[in-house]
Amino acid sequence: MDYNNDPLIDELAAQYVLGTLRGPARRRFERVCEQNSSAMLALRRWEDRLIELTEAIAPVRPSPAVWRKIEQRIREERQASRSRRSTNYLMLAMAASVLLAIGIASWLLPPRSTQVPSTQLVATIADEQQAPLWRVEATPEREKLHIVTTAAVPLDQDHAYELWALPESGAPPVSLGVVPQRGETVLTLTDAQRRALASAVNVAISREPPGGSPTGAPTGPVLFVAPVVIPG
Amino acid sequence: MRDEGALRELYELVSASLLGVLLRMLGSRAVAEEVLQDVMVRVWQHADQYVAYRGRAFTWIMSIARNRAIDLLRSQRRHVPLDNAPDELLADENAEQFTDTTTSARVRRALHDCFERLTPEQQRCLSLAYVDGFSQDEIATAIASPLGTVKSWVRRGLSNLRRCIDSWTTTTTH
Repeated sequence: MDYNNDPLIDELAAQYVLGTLRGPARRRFERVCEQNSSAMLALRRWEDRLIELTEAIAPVRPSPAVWRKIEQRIREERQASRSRRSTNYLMLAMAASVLLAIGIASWLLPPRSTQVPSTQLVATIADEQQAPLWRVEATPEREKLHIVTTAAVPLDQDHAYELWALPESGAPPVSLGVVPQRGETVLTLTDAQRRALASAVNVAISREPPGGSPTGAPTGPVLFVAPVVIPG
Repeated sequence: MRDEGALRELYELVSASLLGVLLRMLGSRAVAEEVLQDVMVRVWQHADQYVAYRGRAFTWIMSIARNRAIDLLRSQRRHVPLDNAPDELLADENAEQFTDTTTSARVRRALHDCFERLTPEQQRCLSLAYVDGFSQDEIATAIASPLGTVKSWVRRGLSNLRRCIDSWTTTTTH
């Protein structure tokens, strides 16, 4: 059954997100969503439609004790956990994507002159024939990246190209942002992105859905890799 | 540990928005802060589900928070804010509302406009439900209207909202 077009499922999804679906009916719908991806998709769509209503609610800063308790519980969880994994990479990836949401805003602004003071080359990303595609430059503290395209960048209307810092340690890639297909742009890096770039040996370009990876990790193929120039 | 640092950065960004929402729904600061802890621990534990979630991290986190709060709500007599204004004593002027800029300003305005186009009754019912966590029974009591009428306003409101928003936006989830 195509739950995506089922008006009953859509109504249940709406009432679930709104909060008016309660008790056993709420639990039942949760189980339907666990088993059926169309129902889950209907749910996600309603979350996206209604989330705007939270905008008008006044934020309230939590007491300092709240974070301490969270930290405490995480540490207890980590000790109790049977997993030998000591670092929650998915947590890093997710946080990076939220931080990226902040970072993206600065390059959505109308372009000022893309004049960036005394930039240094970070990487030249080229294709298999060594034809340059993107030139990545950075300000001395590497807090801004100036990305310049060449005419050789293959245009792809259905996808975005995303730039990743690849740390030396083999830790997961960190997104530096979506790069333009024509012209140039300036990306302002968050502290987390700067740190990732500072410890990166290579950068890479992957093909992603429009707007970039929705997950904080590459979801599409890595198309190009280039070494990071060591600052002189 | 690096991932605690990541969680901390996330917390700095979203905790005030989450607590504001939780306070509106739950009423008690102590309970709301308790739930906030639960939510952040759950976010840390289930970051793998976020990766499978085709949407924005903030929406995912806020959904966890709201669902947890709804699970805690009991149908007791609810105090009705007459004009739905936030409690001034609780509002933190210095706290910033987290704005998820992966949604363009145009889309966010569209969502806002679509809500404004609903009838006053539809807006009131949806707001009491979504923002204040009222059940339809509680809404009916709060605004002194029959339950059947409230259900009808909620259904029409949701349906109108969907039609309006969908006509504005292209697919928002990948």
